[in-house]
Amino acid sequence: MISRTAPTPPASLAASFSTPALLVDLGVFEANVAAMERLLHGSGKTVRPHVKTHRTPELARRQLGGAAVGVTCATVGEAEVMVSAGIDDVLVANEVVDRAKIDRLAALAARARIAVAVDDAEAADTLARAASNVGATVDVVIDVDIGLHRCGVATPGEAVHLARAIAQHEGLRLRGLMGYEGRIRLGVDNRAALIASAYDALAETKHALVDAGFPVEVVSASGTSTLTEALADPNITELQAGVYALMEPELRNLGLPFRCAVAIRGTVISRHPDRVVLDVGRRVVGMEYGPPVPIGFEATEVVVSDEHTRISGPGPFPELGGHLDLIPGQIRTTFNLHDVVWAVRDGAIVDRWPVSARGSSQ
Amino acid sequence: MGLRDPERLITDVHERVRAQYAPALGRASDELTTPALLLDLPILRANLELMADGLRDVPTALRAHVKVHKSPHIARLQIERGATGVGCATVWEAIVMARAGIEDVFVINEVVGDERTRALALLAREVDVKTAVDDTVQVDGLSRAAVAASSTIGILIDVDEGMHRCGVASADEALPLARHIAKSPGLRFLGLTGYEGHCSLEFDRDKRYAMADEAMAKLTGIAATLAANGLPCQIVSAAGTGTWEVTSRYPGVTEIQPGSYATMDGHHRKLDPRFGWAVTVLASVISRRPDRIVTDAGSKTVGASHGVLKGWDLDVYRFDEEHSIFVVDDRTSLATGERVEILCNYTPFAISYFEAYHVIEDGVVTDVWPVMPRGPESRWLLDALERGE
Repeated sequence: MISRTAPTPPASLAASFSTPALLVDLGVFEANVAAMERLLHGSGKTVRPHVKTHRTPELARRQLGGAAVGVTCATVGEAEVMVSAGIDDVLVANEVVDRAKIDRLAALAARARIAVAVDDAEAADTLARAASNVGATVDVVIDVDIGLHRCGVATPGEAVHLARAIAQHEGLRLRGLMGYEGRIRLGVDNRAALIASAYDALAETKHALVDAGFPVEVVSASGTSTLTEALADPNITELQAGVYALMEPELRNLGLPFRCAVAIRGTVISRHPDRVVLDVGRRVVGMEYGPPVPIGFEATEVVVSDEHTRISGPGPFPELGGHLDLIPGQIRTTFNLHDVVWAVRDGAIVDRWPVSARGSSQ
Repeated sequence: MGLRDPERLITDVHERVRAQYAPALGRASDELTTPALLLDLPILRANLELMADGLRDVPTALRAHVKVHKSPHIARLQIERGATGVGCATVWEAIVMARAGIEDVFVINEVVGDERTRALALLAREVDVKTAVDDTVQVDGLSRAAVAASSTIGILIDVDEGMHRCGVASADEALPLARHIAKSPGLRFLGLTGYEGHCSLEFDRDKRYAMADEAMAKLTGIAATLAANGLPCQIVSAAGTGTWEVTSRYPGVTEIQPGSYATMDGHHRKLDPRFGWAVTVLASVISRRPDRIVTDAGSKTVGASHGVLKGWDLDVYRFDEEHSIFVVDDRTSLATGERVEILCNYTPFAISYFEAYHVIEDGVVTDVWPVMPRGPESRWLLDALERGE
């Protein structure tokens, strides 16, 4: 419904650059995408990159191919932007219950292959009618609560009950199930046991559906945090990981073959013997997993306020007016604060892409 | 300058968001597509009234800081209700506010970089433009830009009042900098600015006010030193929503620069509960379980500081990016599809995630106002200035 276009840039890229700016290193990004392809090789599994990570069609397109069969979205608005950008296979891994949003989703299913998560028979009913109205078919996966305590059916019995409701509808096609355990990040207590219990719940639900005569072609799960475990699981067919392509500092400790591809470039606007202050604040960098990490020198303290980042340390600091790059702690909220991302290759800015789905939270 | 239509920059974006959200106009807030950013106009007006009342008996001027709301429409209301000008965090905000008809804009931040000094200098040909410095490098950049644009930029020295961010640390640093400004072409030395932001982390009012007084003693002390050396400070500017009252009464402070008083949030209501919650995030319940409800507004809309539900005394279970989860029991009547309002703990973060406010009067959407400049990609505003638009 809502499309966003960044203002037209001047002819020269360099002439339109200003800080704070969001940068992606294409060499690192491409290496991450290739590393995921290698991880999946021979596994029989596919990846459906979660594009809520960057909300940027130019990046999404470059993640597809090989074992990457389509994208995952969190909102109908994101899915609309991705389909408009030419991506024809989208899973909305979230519950859609609002009537207006269901109508938009059905309209989208007339243009592309659309799947959506369902945990409620009434929502399935509304969705089926909306799909029939436009002559479309919507794929559905049953959302299973595998320990996230958010949306999702709680038991295999509930899943079978819901599958029966879904099977009655012409406009819907039951593809399988999904769950999400990607919030079990490194350092969570009982991490291994929580992941095992999540996968047990997926397996039980899958078997209950199969026993009841329902096809389960798709078992979709996992984030980058649980990638290793998901690859070893026999039931999961599709990974919803998204951060792997761009990475966050905290996830580097997982031992995965991915490197950080994103930076925020700031300008030193104030310089003191013990610190510099950059024009990078919480209005442009996500802070849910801690402050951004300066690239290139040791900082003893990084303090981020609304409009500024103060970096303390022994230096040597850049001159007043100089640039400094920081790796954001949380890239998903960071992308959602920017209209454009600057593509960098070998240290030089080579392109400027709109974060077209910025703010597409509806 | 004789601009054909100086406000077109604003009206174009206003028309665009009105068209985008056209189905919302005239609708009750509980019928809107969510998540949506709501602005309760009567509450906002009451907040502006309260601030005007609080300053009635003092000579201190009100400079409304607009970085919180990034709304030219709200800024205009603040000017109507007695603010003598606005404070901005970036030159891009300053351009938007000038285009909204505001004639006194102060970028209360260090402006560094050719594109930014040029934007400020061009803007200074149209309205009264001021900015802050803490180093001769910034002064020289601004001076060059002002000379090139044949304009004059007002300069205030940024004083570190205890936050240890930007700002000069002492009169010894301020005096040579003031002399440097005074002899720089294209610039006019106007005085001092400081922000006692460290005080706004102290919720005990008496302690906070004592800290603010200490900060003001430093600020006005430096002003006295400059005056004694032939550099009188026409403006001494300070304060935020947590210290507006005490600082507005400190002798020698000529203006205060609060921002959050207009929109408010959980953090600032702990500092000054007299102001009402004018900005909220509207969400829908998308999943109802026996022990919890899940809404469609998470940290990507409410912001990293999260929030609580308006009118429902429910504990927060968790905020995820696209969801917030609240603890319920069988006495909670909220059902799937129902709308709830989230009171943000820190509103600026929520505002950054939206492109427009749904303006609510008597429970109905009466207008849609853009968040502008949304940023940080705002270089196009310099192009607009250069084209004389």
